[in-house]
Amino acid sequence: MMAKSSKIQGEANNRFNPAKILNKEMVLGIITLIAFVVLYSLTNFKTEAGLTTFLKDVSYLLTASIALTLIILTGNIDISAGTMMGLCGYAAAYVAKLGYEFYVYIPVAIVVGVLLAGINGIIITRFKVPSIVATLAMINVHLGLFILLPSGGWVENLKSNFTFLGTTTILGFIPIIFIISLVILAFFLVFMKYSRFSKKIYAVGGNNHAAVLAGINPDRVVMQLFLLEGVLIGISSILFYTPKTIVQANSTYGMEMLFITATVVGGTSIMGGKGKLVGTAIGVVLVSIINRAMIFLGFQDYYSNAVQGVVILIVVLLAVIDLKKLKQYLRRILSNNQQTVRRENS
Amino acid sequence: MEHKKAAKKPKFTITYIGILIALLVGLIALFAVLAEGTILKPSVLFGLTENVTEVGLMALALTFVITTGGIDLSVGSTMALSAVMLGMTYETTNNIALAIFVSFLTGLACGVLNGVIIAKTKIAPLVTTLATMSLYYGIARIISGTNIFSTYPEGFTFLAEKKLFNIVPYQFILFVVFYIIFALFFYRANIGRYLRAIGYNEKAAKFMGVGVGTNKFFIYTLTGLMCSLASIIYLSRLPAAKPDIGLNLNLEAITAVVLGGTNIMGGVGSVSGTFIAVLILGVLRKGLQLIGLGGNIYNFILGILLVICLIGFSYLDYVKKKRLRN
Repeated sequence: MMAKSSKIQGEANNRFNPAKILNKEMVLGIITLIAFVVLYSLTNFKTEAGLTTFLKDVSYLLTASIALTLIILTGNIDISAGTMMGLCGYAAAYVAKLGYEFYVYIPVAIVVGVLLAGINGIIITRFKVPSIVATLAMINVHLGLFILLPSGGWVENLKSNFTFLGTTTILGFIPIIFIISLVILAFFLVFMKYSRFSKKIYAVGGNNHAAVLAGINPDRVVMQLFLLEGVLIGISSILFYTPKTIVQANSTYGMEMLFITATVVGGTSIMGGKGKLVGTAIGVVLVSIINRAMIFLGFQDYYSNAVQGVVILIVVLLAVIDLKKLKQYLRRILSNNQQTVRRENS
Repeated sequence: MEHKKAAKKPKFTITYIGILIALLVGLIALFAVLAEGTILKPSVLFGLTENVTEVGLMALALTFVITTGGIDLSVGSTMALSAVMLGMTYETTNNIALAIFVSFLTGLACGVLNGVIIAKTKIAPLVTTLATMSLYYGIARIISGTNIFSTYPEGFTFLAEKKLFNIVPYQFILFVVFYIIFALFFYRANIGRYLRAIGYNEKAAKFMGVGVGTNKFFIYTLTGLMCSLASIIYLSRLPAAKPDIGLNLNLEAITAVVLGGTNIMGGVGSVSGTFIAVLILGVLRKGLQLIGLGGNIYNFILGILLVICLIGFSYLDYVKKKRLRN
């Protein structure tokens, strides 16, 4: 009986029904696509230089936001990611200035990232300090480290052994660093889909106690994730600084808010346990579009903060609205004819 | 019987407030040794608070917010926006009373927006105030553009410049008054208990009959108002309103609250702890200035201090749990 009725309903709903395929990522993707098209058609964004700059922005944001998403999925947060990135980039640039090639300075950045993130992880997991406070303290420590660095945290006149990564492009407009970030994204998409570790991440974020009962050591998972974050932040710092000839360690201070914005806009719950990397990737594109759009549409730079705030609010409000109810509402409107038919039959 | 019970109790228990006071005294002593006693002069000792009053006022309100398990990252931006509105209104109308009124109205509006979103929707306070932080900062930047509003009437700077008996700055007295008011509300009035109940278990508080939404709305609005008060004090000391004055202040205010022993996860709060922590920040800043170390060294030491305090806090918690188990 049940099967029969559902089958009938299925046949009745056979035509295109947008309510069926509606989910958060879809909505966000559509918004992003519209924003991109509007931007592309209205401005001189379509010049190759504009697109290249845009893709460069996306690449470092994407890498760092993946790291932040993984951390936030466990219910933790790292607000020292921005300053950490500055220190990684400085270390890499310092080594590059001494004349070493990329196979030396990239590992240096990663090692510095792992060390700094490891300290965060130890404080959070060993001493049970809430992550937001622990990383808040670490921001202050990093800010202090900036002026202890030689030459005030600046490295100038970087040669092509450092900048070639950021300036090389494929097909004339796709920067190589964008390809790197895409490879990282692809790896993590597969990783989150098929690895056993990713299930642990969701378990720890969703219900810590249940995770313990299921034989997972939450502290171990969180610690491993912080080390992973260090690696990603190290790579991200390379992606951020290599297009430039000057590395200024404190220029990334405050950038962690961008990463968190992209993550939250992408639909990841700040309480942990819910969220997808696809969402984060779309969120990154949306955030970068907003930043670019402000410049290309002729607004001053200072509009971008306000618009960014409004966008987070709107997107988060959209996420809070019950999608199921919305779906039901849409279905009711779309299947109005069908209901009248049914009523006639009965 | 009574006497025996009292005798059994340990005479001296280490409390977190005690540690904080010891830390404060220790820091003063340390800087007194390092800076050859300059810090012990009464004018310098009371002048410590000059740099931290605005952080302190925001931290007092933030203590309420963090006690409920929430957080407000937008305090710095709200303060900057209020300051910019004050400066702009005064520059266009030349009416300081109106300017101060507009500043308070701005703070109220910012707080109300935070409060409505947090109380009425399920959005986490961290996300909401992250968004409004950029929003208020952005609005302040849009309003001011490249201008810096730096013309204020003669008497406007009295809070910062005038001192009672030429020793105690009036802003310190204001800070103490607000501390007493907040402490009375927190320790003696119903709202303090309500806030702790919400922070400890929101659902249980709701079933108990606590108006969770109302209380949350109230404290976020209060935080907005305190931010505008802080902006007035900031401007009376440094009469230059520009949007980036509040960038580091939200971290500093949260640091003060957490250093004071308020649990960031909610349920445990300490207004007195916040008060002492703000004084510690003042001593650190002034002391480092006296030694000749400025700028980010302050942040560095603050960060290290915060980490040590947090670890100490978790250790105390561990000891307490162990004692309960035995």
